[in-house]
Amino acid sequence: MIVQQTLTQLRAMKLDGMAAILEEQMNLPTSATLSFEDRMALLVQGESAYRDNRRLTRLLAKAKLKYAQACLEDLDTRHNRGLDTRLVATLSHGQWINHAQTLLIWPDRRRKDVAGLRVRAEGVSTWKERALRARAAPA
Amino acid sequence: MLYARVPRLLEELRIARGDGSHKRRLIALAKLDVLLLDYWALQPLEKYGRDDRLEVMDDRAERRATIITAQLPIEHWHAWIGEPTIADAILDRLHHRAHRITLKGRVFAPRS
Repeated sequence: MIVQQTLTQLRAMKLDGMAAILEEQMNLPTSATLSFEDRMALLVQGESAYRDNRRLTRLLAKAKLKYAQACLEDLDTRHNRGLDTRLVATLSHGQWINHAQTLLIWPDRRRKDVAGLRVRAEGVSTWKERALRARAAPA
Repeated sequence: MLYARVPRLLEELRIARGDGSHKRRLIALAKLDVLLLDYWALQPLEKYGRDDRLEVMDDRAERRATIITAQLPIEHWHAWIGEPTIADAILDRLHHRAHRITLKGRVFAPRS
């Protein structure tokens, strides 16, 4: 079948994203109603998204994040934590990274047994991931 | 982009001094767009730890973004660093255009 050959060729040329979209299109009857330009656009978009995703995955792995699954949505923003949610919102846009600024995070009060205490913000890792995503994803 | 536990990083830098790769490692760190330094203030400082911190921050100030999480509130950092000239230098580089977040209560709270 012509399509099978095309798929094989695409994959051989490392256009796996495009191949995946093509396969999808073959399985969707509505694809026939799309114009050539529209279908082409979908194929190209698919490949672009696939590459972005792979790049992001590679960069995240290289970064060796402690909590790679953390995301900003999980951030504990309850009032008793003393988190400035406006600051959080501003920082989440990642502009501060482009401006080469520093982010310092520390506990509100020194605890007596600081030396042995693992004091980490669960939400801190979301910065890390967010920072990486901001850098990895073209703005 | 790199996440680094500071004690481990300093240990690696200390070893790098011995095998001649210290400068190369510092250059590699300086190139990272975002460096996440965790456990910044976990241990008392020794001379090389102090110097290496200054080197890393000096390379990055105004050029690259850095995130630092510390177990010690910032008002204690100068005393903890110990050597006033270096403490001033490090804090200067950190304070400049820095965003600060202080967290109350138990900082590490695994989601149940």
